[in-house]
Amino acid sequence: MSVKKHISSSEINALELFRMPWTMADNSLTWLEPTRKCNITCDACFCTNDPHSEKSLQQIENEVKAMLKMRRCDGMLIAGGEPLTHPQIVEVIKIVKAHNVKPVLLTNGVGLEPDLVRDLKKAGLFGFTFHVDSHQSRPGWIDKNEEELNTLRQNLADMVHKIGGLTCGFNITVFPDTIQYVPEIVEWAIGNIDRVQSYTLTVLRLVEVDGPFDYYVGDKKIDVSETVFYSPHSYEKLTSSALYSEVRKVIPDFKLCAFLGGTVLSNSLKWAVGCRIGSTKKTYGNLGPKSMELIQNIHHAFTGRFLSFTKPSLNRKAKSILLFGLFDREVRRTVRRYFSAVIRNPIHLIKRLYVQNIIIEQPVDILPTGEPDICDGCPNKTLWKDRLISACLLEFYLRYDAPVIAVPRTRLE
Amino acid sequence: MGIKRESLYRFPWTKTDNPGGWIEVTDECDLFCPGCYRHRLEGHRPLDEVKDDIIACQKLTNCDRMGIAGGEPLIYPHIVEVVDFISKHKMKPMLLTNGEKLTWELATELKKAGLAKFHFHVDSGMKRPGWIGKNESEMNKLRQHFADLVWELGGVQCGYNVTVFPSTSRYLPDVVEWCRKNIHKVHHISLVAFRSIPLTEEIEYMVNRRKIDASSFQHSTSDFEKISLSTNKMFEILEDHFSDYQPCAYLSGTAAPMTYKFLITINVGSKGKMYGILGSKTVELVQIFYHLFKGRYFEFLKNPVAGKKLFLLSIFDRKLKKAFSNFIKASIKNPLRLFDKIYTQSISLQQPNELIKGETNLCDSCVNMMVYKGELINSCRLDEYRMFGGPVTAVLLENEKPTILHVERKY
Repeated sequence: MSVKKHISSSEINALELFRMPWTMADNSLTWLEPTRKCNITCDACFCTNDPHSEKSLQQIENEVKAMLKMRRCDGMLIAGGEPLTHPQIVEVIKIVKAHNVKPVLLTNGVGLEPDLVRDLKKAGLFGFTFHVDSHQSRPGWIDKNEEELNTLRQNLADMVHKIGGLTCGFNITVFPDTIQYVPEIVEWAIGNIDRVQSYTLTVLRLVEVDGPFDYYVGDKKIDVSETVFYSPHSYEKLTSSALYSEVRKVIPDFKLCAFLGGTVLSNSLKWAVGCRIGSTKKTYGNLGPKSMELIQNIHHAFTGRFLSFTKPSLNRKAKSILLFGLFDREVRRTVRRYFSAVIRNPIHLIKRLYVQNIIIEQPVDILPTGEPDICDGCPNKTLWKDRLISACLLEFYLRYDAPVIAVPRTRLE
Repeated sequence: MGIKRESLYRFPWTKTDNPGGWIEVTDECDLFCPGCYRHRLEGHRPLDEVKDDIIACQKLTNCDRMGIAGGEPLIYPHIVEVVDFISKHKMKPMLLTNGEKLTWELATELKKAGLAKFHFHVDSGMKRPGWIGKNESEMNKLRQHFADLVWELGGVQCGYNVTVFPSTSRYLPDVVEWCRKNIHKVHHISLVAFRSIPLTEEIEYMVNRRKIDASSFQHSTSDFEKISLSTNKMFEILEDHFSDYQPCAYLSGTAAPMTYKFLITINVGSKGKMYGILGSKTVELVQIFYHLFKGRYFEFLKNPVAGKKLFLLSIFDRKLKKAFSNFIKASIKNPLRLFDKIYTQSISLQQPNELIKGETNLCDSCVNMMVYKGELINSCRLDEYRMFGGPVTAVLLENEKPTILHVERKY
């Protein structure tokens, strides 16, 4: 069996994109879990819902300090569990803010009211990433499809937009039975480019009980069906390039500019971003790899950190980004399209231009050899003991106190 | 003063966008260094295969320099052709050699083929004929011989690899002192803490659930003292001795992020005079500008003469500013100094692949990744793949005992 066959991104040559300069010790983000308790249940969640897992403010502060000692970062994703269930979430935001990183909440948004948003903003919150998809047991939205959920996304985006000054993003886990709705989500998001600064499409990855591997911790075989992220049967493994094709159904000239490869397969597209430039009425083009290189490196040269989230006030200044056309062919193409639209209808000239980041993710893959191929330079590392672990694998470490190793049932010779 | 991480620059290098690539042309060698990790299994590799791997490695790593290693690459019959091939494919060929077979004629041929750098492995632990029983300071004499040869050749850089053991670490200041004196001739030195596979009853080694006999690795050891030296310790030794010894950039470990796998200090000076060091901002700026214009990162520049233009960057970098003011002061005392060439010299402390609490702690963004059967692997782990078919993992066994897998060796 060749490992080569496993490289999914056949249509996209990852090596032509800019490899984000993010690493273990110097990254854009770090992941913080103030609690692992949650108020809803999502399919494919990688975290056990533990009502007694709330951490004290002291413990949270210690974790923040420990992580920032090991890693430079620009932002901190405050996740969980559902972080809004933490009774002192406003204080948690203040702690993170006090350490001079951008606090961003990764939340399902259940029960989020404008008053709380204002309090969080006052505490120093930088913005939200809302996890909204149709495989969640969300009160009032059960059995709705992805297209219908755009109404909920709209409500959340409008609420954040109205309060202003906060970045707004969405996370959508894409299942084999929901990939058909990706174009509707993209369509919705591009129409809201003024209030949705980024969104992430992540393909489903679970551990199959009937898959080709046995799982071990040390020399002990474990039963994966006792873990949260098992799947009782094999499922279709969608790839990031499948997501890319779906996005291009709505935006035919959509292009990615930067990526992270796998820890084993360096050119597998584990994480990739495309930055779209447009107004609320019309979309013009993308940023190219050179622009992302300039943005990341100039930001680092001046602030000492790689850029994570940006303020909406920056996203709406996309006209100045057109200057990157001096270095970037892709931006020059965007500029040409923009000016030809302006010539046809000068009204476009006064319309504001925005940038929207579209991120596609393909989480851990177990290769035929049993090696896990995870994101190299993973932005979502979190604390486990005195180390940094990818948040998507934390459950294994917490449960077994060691990494889980996959071993092919049939011996490879 | 210690190492202050917040003042250091983590090189922007990653697995797929890395300044370094690695190719091994042979696993044969004319020396038998105790502790060497390379086993003699295959001999000289076919040239076509070597060329294919070079191209694949360049594609996968986007590398700027290609390290030619082994074994001893100078005994490989097509070595000049390999150097030429790498150079024609717009990478800087760098030879990692013990220098035993280096003659003036061969050096000239290699230079003509486009060799960018010699990297001599010279240390007292090598059991080199004629140098047995010499200590690390006495080995400076041999280092000087190679440095003079490369200097006379001209146009090719000169670097060294020194494997350091706890027992030889006290000579580190002598070695670095020698480098500083030769800043115009010596552009790089890697001081590499010795690492090997520890043999103990508490750890068993496995590849794909099959136990392997780790003592079949010739460099495995049960002497834990021997593998206990760290970059932090080497840093302390050097810091005690040189007042201006401060690192500017690093790479951390994959499993233990606080470890320093690469810790680099860059000296600035001219022949016979040291002015100071580079700070992290200069390293960052030159890395990102090189990448912006050339599309890749670099490990060393073709020309070791940085020139006085380097001092322009002192507006961003306090340490470089200090070096600049030292240069000005020296020039006031002796105006002839103004005409001196300004060189940079990197001193790299390294702590390779090791086990920390049962987990393999590799260099995060290793600069010596090589292609093996179409995939990128850490070159320090090559023999795990060649001998056992995959990377070795350490485990604590409790009950079930797997079958032992033996390896056939050619010698």
